[in-house]
Amino acid sequence: MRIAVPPWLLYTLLGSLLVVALYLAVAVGRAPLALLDTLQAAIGGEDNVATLVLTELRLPRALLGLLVGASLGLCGAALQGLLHNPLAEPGIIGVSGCAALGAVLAFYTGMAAAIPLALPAAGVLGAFIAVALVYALAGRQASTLAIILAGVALNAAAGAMTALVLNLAESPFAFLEIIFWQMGSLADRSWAHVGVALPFMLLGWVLILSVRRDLAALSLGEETAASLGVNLSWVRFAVIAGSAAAVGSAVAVSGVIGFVGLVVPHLLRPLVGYDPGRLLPASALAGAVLVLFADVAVRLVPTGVELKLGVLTALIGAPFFLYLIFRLRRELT
Amino acid sequence: MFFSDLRLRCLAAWLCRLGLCLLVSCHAAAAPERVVSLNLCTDELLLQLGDHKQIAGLSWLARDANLTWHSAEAMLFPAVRGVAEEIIRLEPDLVLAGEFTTPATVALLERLEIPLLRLPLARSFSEIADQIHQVADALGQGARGREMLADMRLRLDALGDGGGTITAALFQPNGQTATTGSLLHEVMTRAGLHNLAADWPQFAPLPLETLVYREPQLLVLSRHGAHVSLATELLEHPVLRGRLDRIEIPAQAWTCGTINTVRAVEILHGAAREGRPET
Amino acid sequence: MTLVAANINVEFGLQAVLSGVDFAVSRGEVVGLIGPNGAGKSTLLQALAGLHPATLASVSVDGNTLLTMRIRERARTIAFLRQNTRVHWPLAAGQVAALGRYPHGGAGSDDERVQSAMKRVEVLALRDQPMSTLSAGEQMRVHIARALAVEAPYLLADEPVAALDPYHQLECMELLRREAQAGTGVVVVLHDLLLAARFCDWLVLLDHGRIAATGLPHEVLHGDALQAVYGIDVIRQRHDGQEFVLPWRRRTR
Repeated sequence: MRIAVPPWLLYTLLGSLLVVALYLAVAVGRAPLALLDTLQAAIGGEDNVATLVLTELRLPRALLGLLVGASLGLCGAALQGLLHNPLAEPGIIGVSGCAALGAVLAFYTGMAAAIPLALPAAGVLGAFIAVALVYALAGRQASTLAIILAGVALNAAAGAMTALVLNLAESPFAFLEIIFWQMGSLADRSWAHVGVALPFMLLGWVLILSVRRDLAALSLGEETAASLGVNLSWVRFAVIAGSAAAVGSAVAVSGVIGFVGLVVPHLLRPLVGYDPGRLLPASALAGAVLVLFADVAVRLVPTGVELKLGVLTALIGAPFFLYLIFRLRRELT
Repeated sequence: MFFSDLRLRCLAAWLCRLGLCLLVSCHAAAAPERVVSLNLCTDELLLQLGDHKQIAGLSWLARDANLTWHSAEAMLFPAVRGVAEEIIRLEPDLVLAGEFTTPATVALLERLEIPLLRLPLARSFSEIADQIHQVADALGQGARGREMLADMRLRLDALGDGGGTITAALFQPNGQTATTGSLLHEVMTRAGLHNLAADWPQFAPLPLETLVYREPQLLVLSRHGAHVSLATELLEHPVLRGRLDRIEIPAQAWTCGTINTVRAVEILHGAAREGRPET
Repeated sequence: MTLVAANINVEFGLQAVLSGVDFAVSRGEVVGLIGPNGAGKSTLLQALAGLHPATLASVSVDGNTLLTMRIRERARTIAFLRQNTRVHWPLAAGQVAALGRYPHGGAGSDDERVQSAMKRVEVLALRDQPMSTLSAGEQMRVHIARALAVEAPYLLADEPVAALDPYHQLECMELLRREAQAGTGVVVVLHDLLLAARFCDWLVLLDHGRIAATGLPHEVLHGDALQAVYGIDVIRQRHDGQEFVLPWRRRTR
């Protein structure tokens, strides 16, 4: 089913949704802020409680939500383009889990306290190993079964080792923090987190977006794409390294937030004519919108401890995943 | 020989409980000589009130310097993890435990008729006083107990009535704070601070936004050691820097409700009076 | 004005798929590549397109080897059409055809070059239809349109008429002929000896990775090599001044 949506309309729509989401992300919170007044005061350089909450708590959280959501949406679309498979998603294929393991190792050994960039770097390294492994195991022939199985194995291994590291960590609080790492959250993040993750995310985005037309050509298969002038090795590297950089750093500062990279590209594909290249920037935008709205929602649910973001995305994403498997089951065997 | 001693002591204790202390002098029952403590707080009470020769075992938590100031002393005694076998092997004639000690272990001790004194977490200074009294009596150290209580009363009275003019909030790892009815709340009140988070639901973490928005003049922090975790990283959030005066209370002072808790009140009182932060 | 391959050797593992093959095609002519299954025709075509890294130095266009050309330049010079192209996403015919502009920087399906290519193959009307809804023949024509959209001086096609009905077979070959007349050098792999006779200027017969015969169509088709290589007996016919052969009977090996 194709819905002919001209690009300008699609991006205007997504852009407007993003603006609304950003507004809500900055306006919703425990402290009752008069948003416009506070914004004015902040710009004017005033320093009071309201501007403090706005500039040190709400703004970094909103911006991080945008960055993380965009990274997850973009990488989901890119991996699906490379692996020719609509089920490839950083969480499902084990990339996020391995990124979390890397981040946990850097954080609880104190490395990240000594060298702040070590945190996202470790996440990127973990993510890279995962993507490279999945590609090596199942990339060329891209059998769905192989990809999903690789993901299951990686997630199991990474999850177990993460729990082990947390158990062995010196702090008595470490073990319970597995909830943060495996379910993800944007609460109480600061500009420092934005700062360390941003360079890697930007690098990832640049790498991936640079090969978007190549991914479109790749729809015709590797041989035809090569005959059209696509540099296959570079495309593989750009998508693998780019996804690792963006997802790895995102997970390092916000934990594993799953299913964004599955739901967003799938919903947008009919709107971009199934073109894997056009899907990339649209998925980035829509991913940002989704994560921001979800982050607002967790602040509105009246639980004692704030609901974890990954719980919400999983509540939406897991049934969606099941639905996809059901619809594609004939092609999956 | 030991066994008949034990039986005798159990009998005396049981008769005391029946209110027959008038007929049978409880003091005639010899002070316990092999006391085992299964809980950090009872460990501290035991070390503070008992003689070294009375102590047969302490919980493994007592060895953690981050949790208690008595850790060096605790190293002199066997460490117990709470497994019933372990405890019985030490042949205790009195076991001190907390309210959350494993029910299975407690049940076994009761079945073996080993005298057990269970103390809940102290939630106020009057409860602390009660516990000091109870433990001192059980150890046959009544005099030492009365001395400690007098000292506590003296130190607390010396602080006077703070007046509650300085607003403060407690922020512990994971955003845990002091709420009405808790020991930490009373510590802050006795120090002369007005606790802005008193109305917060018990055990619920205090969100950073709420903490900042209530504008406490003094931020009271307490860590548990220098180990890295997200919980302690929260205390370093940039939003808490600069604007708020901070003071850090060592966890050893108030992890348990004992005479050491008075030290926490004294530190806070000093900070409140000077209106300046102490590191 | 020639695409030349000299001494092509390709091995898959221990097996030699092509040994010492020389090949040349000039702009403006149609060269037919025939031979039994497994003779190495597809492999030769891939080597000519620069898809086998080992042979890049052995293939040259107007004197420049493919090795010295950048990958995009190669793609603009040689258009390649595979036998079974599987399209991984439900793209529309117009989008598939538009991918042919990739070597030139890409374009949409409304680009005039793409449209003219689609018109030449008569698939313009199917522009917005998903490939999966088209018949095998229509899909093939869309892929041909994609190859034509590259506007490369050389066009290599691997069995383009295999899935087409007789009408479209003739139409496709006529199209390739017209492209050649317009200046394109065309190499086409064929199984149909009749089409080979009628539409090719030159034939190359491959057998077990080596050239068994090469020359003008009637020379190769009427020669003994053909019958030996295929293991068949043919009958010779003539119509409208053109000679052709038809496979008639299998030879018992």
